[in-house]
Amino acid sequence: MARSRYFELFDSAHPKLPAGRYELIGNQELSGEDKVGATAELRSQLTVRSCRYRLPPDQVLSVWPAANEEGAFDSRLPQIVLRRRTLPWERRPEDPADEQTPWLALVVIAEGEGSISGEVPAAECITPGKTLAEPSDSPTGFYLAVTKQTIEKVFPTKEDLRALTHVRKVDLADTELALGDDDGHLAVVMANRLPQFDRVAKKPVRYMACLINLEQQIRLLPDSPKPVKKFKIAVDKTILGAHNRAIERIAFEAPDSQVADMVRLEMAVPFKLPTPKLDFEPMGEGVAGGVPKLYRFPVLTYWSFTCTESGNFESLMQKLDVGAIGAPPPPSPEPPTRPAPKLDDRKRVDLEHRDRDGEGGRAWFRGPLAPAPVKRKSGLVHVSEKLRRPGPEGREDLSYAAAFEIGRLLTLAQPSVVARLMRWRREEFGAESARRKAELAIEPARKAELLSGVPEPGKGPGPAIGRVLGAALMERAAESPQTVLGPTRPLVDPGRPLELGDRPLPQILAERLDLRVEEVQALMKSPGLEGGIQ
Amino acid sequence: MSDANLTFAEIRDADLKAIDDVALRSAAAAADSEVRVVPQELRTWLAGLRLLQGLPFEYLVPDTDLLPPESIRFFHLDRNWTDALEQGALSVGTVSGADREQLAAVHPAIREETDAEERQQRAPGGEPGFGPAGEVTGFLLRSRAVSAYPGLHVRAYGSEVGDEEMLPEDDPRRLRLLRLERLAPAVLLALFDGVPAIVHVEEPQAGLQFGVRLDAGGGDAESLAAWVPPRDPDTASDLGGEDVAVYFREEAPGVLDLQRTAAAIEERIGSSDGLNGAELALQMIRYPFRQVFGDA
Repeated sequence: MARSRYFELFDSAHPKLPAGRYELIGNQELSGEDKVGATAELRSQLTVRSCRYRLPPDQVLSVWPAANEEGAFDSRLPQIVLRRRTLPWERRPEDPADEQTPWLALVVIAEGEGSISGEVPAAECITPGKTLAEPSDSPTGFYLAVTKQTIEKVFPTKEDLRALTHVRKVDLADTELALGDDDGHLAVVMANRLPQFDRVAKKPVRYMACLINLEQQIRLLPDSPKPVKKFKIAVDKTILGAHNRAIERIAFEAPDSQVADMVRLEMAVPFKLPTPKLDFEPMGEGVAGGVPKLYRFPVLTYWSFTCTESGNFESLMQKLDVGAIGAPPPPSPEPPTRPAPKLDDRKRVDLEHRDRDGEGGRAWFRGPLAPAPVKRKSGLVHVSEKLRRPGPEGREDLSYAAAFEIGRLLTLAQPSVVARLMRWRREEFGAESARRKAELAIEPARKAELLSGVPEPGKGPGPAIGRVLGAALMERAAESPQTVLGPTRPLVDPGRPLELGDRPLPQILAERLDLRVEEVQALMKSPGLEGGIQ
Repeated sequence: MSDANLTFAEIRDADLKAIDDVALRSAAAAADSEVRVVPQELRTWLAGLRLLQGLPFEYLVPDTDLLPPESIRFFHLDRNWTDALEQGALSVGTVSGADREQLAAVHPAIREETDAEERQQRAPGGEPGFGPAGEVTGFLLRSRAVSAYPGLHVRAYGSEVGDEEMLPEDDPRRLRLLRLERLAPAVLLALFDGVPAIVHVEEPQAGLQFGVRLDAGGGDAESLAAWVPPRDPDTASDLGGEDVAVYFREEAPGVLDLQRTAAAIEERIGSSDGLNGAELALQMIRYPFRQVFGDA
């Protein structure tokens, strides 16, 4: 890579003191003769705090895959990057002398393999029977409830924990890696499971990644499972069933149906898993028989994502069919469901066409994507009809006409653009006439100031030269429109001659205006009126 | 009506004042050398159309055979086609013959301004391109890789560069992206400002990732196996040679057996003091894959 990026990897970063309560004892030993100045022993309480039930949001630098993301994640391990490098080693999962084993694990469970609780008091976040010593960081928390079978199958082993956690030191200047961290030291917790797409049912699988606290419960982790070199692509449904049975058992034992429904609802959160109702033996005989126990682990943070595809990027990209637009599709093993489109040498497609009169036919069409460079022409048309071109086989090529029409339609579909276009047109006219008025109205001195764009000798034209020329042209046009703009049309055209017939004019007028003939004759005595009418 | 009380002279004065204001404003606008014919909003709209924004997909690909599944198709943008598109849009604003005459008079200016605006539409790194747009090319990619890997990186170069190189945005050899957009979940459209010699399509970079190479396990269609290429624990460079098999937990699809895998890696790289978190992480780092298309 051209951009040099560096990072260093460290196995672990241990805090000087793990989280917990300490007593600080201070005393002095004086060696002098008289022991003057001896002080009393100091006893002081000291608490080293660290999170236990909840991860402060600012501690999470990034997660992968991103929360709620969908994609092909099947060859990558989910991970969480934490800002404080010592975080995974700030508590001792069980043995206080064991410094190396982190107390955090990132477990990835598929939909239905476990469930996240609602918010409960912190003491309930761990399997009943276990307690975590004070102090706790939060009065409430969430827990992950899983069966022993889920733990056996998907949880890391105690030895795995160390391999899954490391510290990374990154270059702070590399924004993509450091993401604004303050010291460039980050703790990374990886999961031990590759999230799989359901390749058999071809269905996406939703996963949840949970950062869990293993304090006091590290013994529950699987013990040296059997390694294999390959795994079946089928999604394992057995753990799913066990979990459902466990939830149903609890629901079954609930005092009434409302509580039972609540259990089903709560336990299925946030997966919204439709839990099937199962039949159980009535209470009394074989109550515990075959019903798995649910273990609880405090969850510091969790997020979900969906594995929607399989296949890695590399193989997908390398199998791509590469070509220029118009290249024939690769041969397919399946028989074609429809005839292949007919293309001409310019990769125009022969398409069905219905003209404005509703008459059917065929025409050539190519979109804006051409297989070879096309020479750009100039010119402006106002209607799409002018862009119809003759094509091969006596059919029209409607490519550009269709482009014109869709451009028009797309614009008409945007009222704001239409309004802007109309305003623009109006303003062009309005601005022009305002300018003309202004030129006539302003005083000569102001005019000179405004016309600062007139070129001075030895200098080029000023910025207003265009306007100056426009104004000058306008002035000339106003002075002698005949020479500048050409002959003008007379304001009024002579009307056609009236056909009055043989009758005298006063009589016609009197009839039409519903007046007496004498009155009309009297009115017509006004000088010039008769001549005007005639 | 208070106007009725104004003398004729007062009305005339008010009128003259309004005219003066207009004159001053138009003079100020004229003094600004950036004066353009087309208002900004319209320029943005026209340039967007030129870059095929909002164009129904059937217009781009009139037949599905032109863009079969799992294919990439390179193209030259037909500027006559986009000019026709633009003229269709402009025709909305012309109502009368006089409007058309006026439009025809300013059309060369409109065209020039829209050419320049095309390069402003997508201004990566805050460095818009200048001058009229020239040849525009691009590709349509239809692949599951588009839907499965959101945020692909696409880079085009005007001259041959090494497969491993990544030149900065402002390098003259690198072509500007005019548009990069997913038209459908699995269809990606890219438009370049120029004719590329090389196009790189790279897996999205989301920090550092860890993983394996997963593949069908030796002719067995029903199971998967995985490998990692071994790396030198001190220099992090690839050791080459045979990949190391990754072990899984029995009866648990996708769950790694890290102890066994670590042992296999140790054996391969010739270490014997146990693989710690950092060493295992180093072996499992996966760099984003880059597909190189040449002679496009």
